[in-house]
Amino acid sequence: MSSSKRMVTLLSPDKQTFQVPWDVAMRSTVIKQMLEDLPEPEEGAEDQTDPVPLMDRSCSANVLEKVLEYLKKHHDFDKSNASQEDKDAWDKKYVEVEDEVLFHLILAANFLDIKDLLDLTCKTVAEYIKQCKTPEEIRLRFNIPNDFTPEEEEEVRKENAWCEEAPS
Amino acid sequence: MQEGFDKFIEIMEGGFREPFALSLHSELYTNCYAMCTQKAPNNYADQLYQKYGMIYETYLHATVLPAIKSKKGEAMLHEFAKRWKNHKLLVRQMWKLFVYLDRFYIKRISGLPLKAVGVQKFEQVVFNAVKEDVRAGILGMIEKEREGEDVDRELLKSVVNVKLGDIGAARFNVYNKELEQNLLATTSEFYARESAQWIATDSCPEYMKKAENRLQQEVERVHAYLHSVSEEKLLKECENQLLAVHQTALLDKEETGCRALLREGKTEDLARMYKLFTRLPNSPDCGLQPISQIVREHIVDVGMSLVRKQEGEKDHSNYAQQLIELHDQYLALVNGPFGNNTLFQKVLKEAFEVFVNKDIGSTTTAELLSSFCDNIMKTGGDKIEGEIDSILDKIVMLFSYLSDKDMFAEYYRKQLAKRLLLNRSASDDDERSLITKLKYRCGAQFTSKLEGMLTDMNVSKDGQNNFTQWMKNNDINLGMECSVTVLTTGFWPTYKVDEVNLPNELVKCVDKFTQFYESRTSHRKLKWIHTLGTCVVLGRFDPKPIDLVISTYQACILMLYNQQEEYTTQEIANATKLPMEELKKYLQTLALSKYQILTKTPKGKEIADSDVFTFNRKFTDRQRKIKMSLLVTKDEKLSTKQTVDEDRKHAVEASIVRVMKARKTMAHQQLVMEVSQQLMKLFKPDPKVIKNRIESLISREYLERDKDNNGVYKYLA
Repeated sequence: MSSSKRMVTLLSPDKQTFQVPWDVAMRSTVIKQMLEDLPEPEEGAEDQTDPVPLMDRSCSANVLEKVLEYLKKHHDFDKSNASQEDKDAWDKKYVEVEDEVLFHLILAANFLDIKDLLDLTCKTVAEYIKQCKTPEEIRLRFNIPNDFTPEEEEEVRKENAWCEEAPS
Repeated sequence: MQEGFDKFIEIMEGGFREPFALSLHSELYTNCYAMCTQKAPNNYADQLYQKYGMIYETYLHATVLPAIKSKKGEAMLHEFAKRWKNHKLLVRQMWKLFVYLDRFYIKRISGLPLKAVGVQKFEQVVFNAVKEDVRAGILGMIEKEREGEDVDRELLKSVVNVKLGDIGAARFNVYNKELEQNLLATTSEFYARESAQWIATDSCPEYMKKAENRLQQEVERVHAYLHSVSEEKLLKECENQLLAVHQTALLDKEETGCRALLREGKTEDLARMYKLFTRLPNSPDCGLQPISQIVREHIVDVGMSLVRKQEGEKDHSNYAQQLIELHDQYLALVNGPFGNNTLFQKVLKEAFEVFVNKDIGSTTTAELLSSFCDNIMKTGGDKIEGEIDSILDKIVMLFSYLSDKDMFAEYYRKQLAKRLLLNRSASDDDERSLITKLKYRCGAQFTSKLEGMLTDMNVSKDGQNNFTQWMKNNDINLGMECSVTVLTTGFWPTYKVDEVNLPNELVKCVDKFTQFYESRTSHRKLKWIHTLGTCVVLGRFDPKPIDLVISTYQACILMLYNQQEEYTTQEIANATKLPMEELKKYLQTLALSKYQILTKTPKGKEIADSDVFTFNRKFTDRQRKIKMSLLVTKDEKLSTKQTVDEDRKHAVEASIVRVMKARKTMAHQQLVMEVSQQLMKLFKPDPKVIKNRIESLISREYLERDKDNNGVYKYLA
């Protein structure tokens, strides 16, 4: 069976299964490393490959689905030699999700070792941070409680005084 | 966690027959991931990394090492290779499980990557413990193979590869330290033993065949299971033992050594010799140089024996041909078996220079070579169709070995003059081609005279047509055909000019031509060289008239008989004004040679002043036209030598003046050296001659000695 038709079953920690084309699954380095030593099923024989259990919490069904969407799309992009602009446009839409989902995507991409997805999601977060002008804004944006005492905060400000001086 | 690894190792011991369960893989990876990603103080990356190394150590100590140590010899090597193969798989699987460490933790602490740790552990635990045995095992097997036994090359390859490792450069040190050095040592030992035995029992060609074979085997061995970096070192070791150590003994083998191979023309063996010894570095007693010396001696020997044989013989006509063949033979040797190596080219040249410049009895190679040229260039000479050009090339090649190039040139010039004037040159193209080749070797100055001669001939041909036309236009009838060749003084050899009484018919021709020539050119003086002339006269003999082709002087004598039937020698001399000596020679050709046109009374070989010569009316011959033998210029050789010596004097003087003009002042020794250098191209000047010429130049006030230092000359403008 050619690898283009071969399917892989992925099992999320919440026990949902996903059928994914072999080539798409291979885009995750971790899945690839798990599967690459398996013997190829013989021509015509039914694929006996066990479902691949993904055990990290980050790979819950809804996140995994989102990850797979990315993998499939980019697999198609590569097959059709899509332009960088097309990819960028699609990626931009793809990351327009709630912060909660975005963070889960980062964790899943890290766990599954999908470099381009990890880059994309981290970059998105980084841009969110860049849009904020002050620490307070960042806290507000990501809903982080300020756990510094006023003294501590003063200390940090001093250490990073050069930041403030820099021309905006 | 430990549980997972135990299970994993268990599977591994089983030889990986079943693939590692996906669930286990996933579980272990996830655990590892989780342990690394938790925030401090729950981050266990550090311990995990330690644990990773520990797993190897425990496993290797507990299982692998005893397994290898329990076996001996080849079986041990097998076990070792197998264990290494397993270990590589183990490392790979382990790496996949711990890969998250590689991605973050190790990068951060700049630790040794996981795979390297795995290899390192193997080296520390297993390799260091058994390396002595393994090395001995490998070397033992190589030795066995050299002895001709079949060994498991695959096994050797896999074991050797353990030593090389597969993570690149760092492993080279191990290979280098553990195997290569020992291998080189045992190799050297092995071949020292073997070659000592060969040299004692085998002939030179056999030895070389064996050595070649061995070298080939070593190359194959390196390719089969050693590392390519060793190839050069290993071969060097072999070359040293097989070739360098025994070179002198090998080359000097009485019956079969290098000399014998040369004598018997064993080109195949010589080619092998060249191929083998070209591997060695060159030095006076190693590599190709000693061979080239032997070749040189050999060629000189052969050449000298040729020269000596010629000395004993009267007829030297085949010498040049033999010389060419000899040169062909050794040129082929140099170009073929000796790979056209510059060392051998040089040796060939040196060897030929030695014997080509030896005198052969009273003659020299220069002269014989020139005569050989004459022979193939003149009509009626020995023709070698279609090959003339290549033969000329070879002649020029030999010519370049001569040190007395001017001697050759002088002989050649005389012979060329003869060919041209007597119309015996077979092909103008060939003449020119040879001259061009000489020019290429020695420069334009060297051939300018020769070229001038050919040009003179062409100009004269045109001049002749113009002369005929001129006579027609001026209504002059000489009553005979007359053709004149104008030679430029200097290009041609010098000829004697005699004042003789020409018959009236010829005087008329001479006058008319002089008149014609002066009408075309001015300031040029014509000198008539009758010694070179030819005449065709009709002899009205009683049986039938015969055309006689004779020299001008012979014609002068015969023309006298138009007026009178008989003359005494003295009378002829008075009438022709020919010097008595010359006259007697001419008379000899007319009266005492094959064609007796004059009858001498009294009969006898000697000609006295009072002898009477009568026209022999009864003379006849089968042919309608007779070519009389022409006078041989007396003692040509001696005069050539004189001319050459004279020319050399001028050349030396010219060179001295040239040098001095440039340097103004110069010490004697330097001057002699400089002059010798300049003239080397033409001949080897005798220092005595140079000294002589300097004296002469001083006396003619071109130079003067320095007042303070007697050994220094000054140039006087």
